[in-house]
Amino acid sequence: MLLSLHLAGTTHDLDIVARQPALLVRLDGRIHAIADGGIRDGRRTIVVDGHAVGYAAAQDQNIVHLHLDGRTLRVEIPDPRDAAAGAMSGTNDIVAPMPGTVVGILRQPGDVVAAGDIVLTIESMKLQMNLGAPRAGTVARLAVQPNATFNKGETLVVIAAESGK
Amino acid sequence: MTAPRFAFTKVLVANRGEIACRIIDTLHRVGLDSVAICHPLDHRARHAAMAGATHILAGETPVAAHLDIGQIVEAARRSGADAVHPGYGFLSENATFARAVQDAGLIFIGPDPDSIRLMGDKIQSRDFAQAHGVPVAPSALPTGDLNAFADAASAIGFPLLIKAAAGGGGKGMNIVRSREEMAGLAQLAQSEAQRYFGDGRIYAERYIERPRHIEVQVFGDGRGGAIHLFERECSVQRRFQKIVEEAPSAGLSDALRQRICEAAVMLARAARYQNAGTVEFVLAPDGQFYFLEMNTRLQVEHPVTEMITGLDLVELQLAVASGAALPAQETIEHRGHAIECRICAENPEQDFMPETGRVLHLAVAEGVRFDSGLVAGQQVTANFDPMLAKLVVHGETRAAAIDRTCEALRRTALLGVTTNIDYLVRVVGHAAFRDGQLHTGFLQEHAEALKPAPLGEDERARAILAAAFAHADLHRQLLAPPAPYGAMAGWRN
Repeated sequence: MLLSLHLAGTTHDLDIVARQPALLVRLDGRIHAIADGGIRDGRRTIVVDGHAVGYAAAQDQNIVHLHLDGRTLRVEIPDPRDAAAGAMSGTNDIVAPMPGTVVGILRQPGDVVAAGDIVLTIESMKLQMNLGAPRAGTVARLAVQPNATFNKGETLVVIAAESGK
Repeated sequence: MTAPRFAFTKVLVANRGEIACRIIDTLHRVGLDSVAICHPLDHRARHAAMAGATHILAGETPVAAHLDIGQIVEAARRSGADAVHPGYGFLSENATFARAVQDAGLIFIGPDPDSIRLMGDKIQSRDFAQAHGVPVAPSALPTGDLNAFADAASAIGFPLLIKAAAGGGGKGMNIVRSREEMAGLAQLAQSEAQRYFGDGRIYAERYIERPRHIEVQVFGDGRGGAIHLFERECSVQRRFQKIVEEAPSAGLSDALRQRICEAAVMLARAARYQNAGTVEFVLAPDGQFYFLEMNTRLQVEHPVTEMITGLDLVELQLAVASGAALPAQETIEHRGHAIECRICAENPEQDFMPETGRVLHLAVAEGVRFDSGLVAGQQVTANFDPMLAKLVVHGETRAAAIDRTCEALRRTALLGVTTNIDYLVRVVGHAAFRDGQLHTGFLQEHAEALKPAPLGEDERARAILAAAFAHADLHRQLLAPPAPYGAMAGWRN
């Protein structure tokens, strides 16, 4: 079975070729011998094709945060069983990019908006930002009021797409 | 027995995060007791754990609690503190707070309320500076009539900068490039000023293209005596906020350094300023410098001054607040070069938008100063400023400090929340930074070059394989399958 891992916008396919006598994996068609190098100088080590690579890592559910070669990276390892669930985004709604407070609402239900039109202003970490309509349509419903606080990912404004879309 | 060095024994630190930790460190080192304050949501914070005692503040939000003057003064009184250190931000430049502390019979470790009020008003402080021979940029002062203001401002010539009179931190600041933009941007600045500072007054001044931000650390004794601790350069900014600071500046000749430091001391003397302050200047490419503002508190970037002078600025603040004489100017020397990087929870690839998350792993490079209030497992929320830590490095030369900074940043792993660490490596490692070709538009000018290099094929492979190893389920499947399956390949569900 092939496992898909995502790194910086690219999907990589990983499979186990053999576990014994040595662990061999196939990554995007190339075979690599890998082994656990243990902890060196406080960092984990993985031996890839004979070369030890030090890294730090922390797992947060299906995300592995990595520090490797002096860079910070994020690898997403979706559980294949969840694969079907993911493709639900692509919404018309304005969704909170981060937690914060509503500073002002510039459009009202019934207003026609073009893609990118500023609909509301939010504040987070002492920073104000304007949120625009993701695509053209009509403001259907305001899910928040001025001064309301919200969490990341919450729907703030529901936009009905232009007919025919 | 010698007289005690300080006029107090227990200090309430009216702050949180890295600066509260940094102040408590010095308090303990010099033998003083400390009291921390925190909001219930912040009770696991490092500063609360470090302090001799912690007082929990009530408040709808943590920020509201840290701005509650009555409650903080009461906490100081009840905890038996006899002095208050405000840190930076929050109430540190609030004259009403300084007065309330004094009225409660406590020592405020900072300037007197009148100095805070004078310097806190951008217009009054400019007038004061000008009256005392410190150069200021051509400007237009606010009037009640926005049209009259727009006319007066336009007479300065474009581009110009509109600022909030009560402002700071880049809020309410807008660059105006033509008469056509004037009305709209003035109105915007006014409403931002009203919103952020409760004071809608704005003023305009000439915008200097490619300016350097130079600031001078001063200390005053409150009796008309003042010294400087040399300058810092803080030209590397995003959104008018500093992210890399250094001392000394690579942009000053010795003669210019002396002139700019003397101008700052002149201002501090004229104001009979007491304790630590910073006089900020804009330095134009032609060597002209103009007074920008005076910050009446310890600055975020004070560690670079500490690194080159060998002085502990908080300790000096404690001594001055106790009535001690200032060190003689000629005893203040600078050695080598120091660089500070502000590590922030933000995404430089998305216009520096603040990020939230949990700190899952923190490993700091050895041999550098790392000021932070972070604890493992800490949730980084939208409640506070996105700055998580400051990495500060000293080298014998600027080039050595740059090399050490890049190396230390590359060795610092902070995982779980997106930070600007990798970006800072690219900034400090950039050839133009190395050449000292700095100005406040540095990050915009080099935006393309400061984007991350794409990952190479080998780098990607190492990352994917390391991630698979670090993932609990995959690790188990890769290395320790149950015996009967040991020889088999493939993943199992």
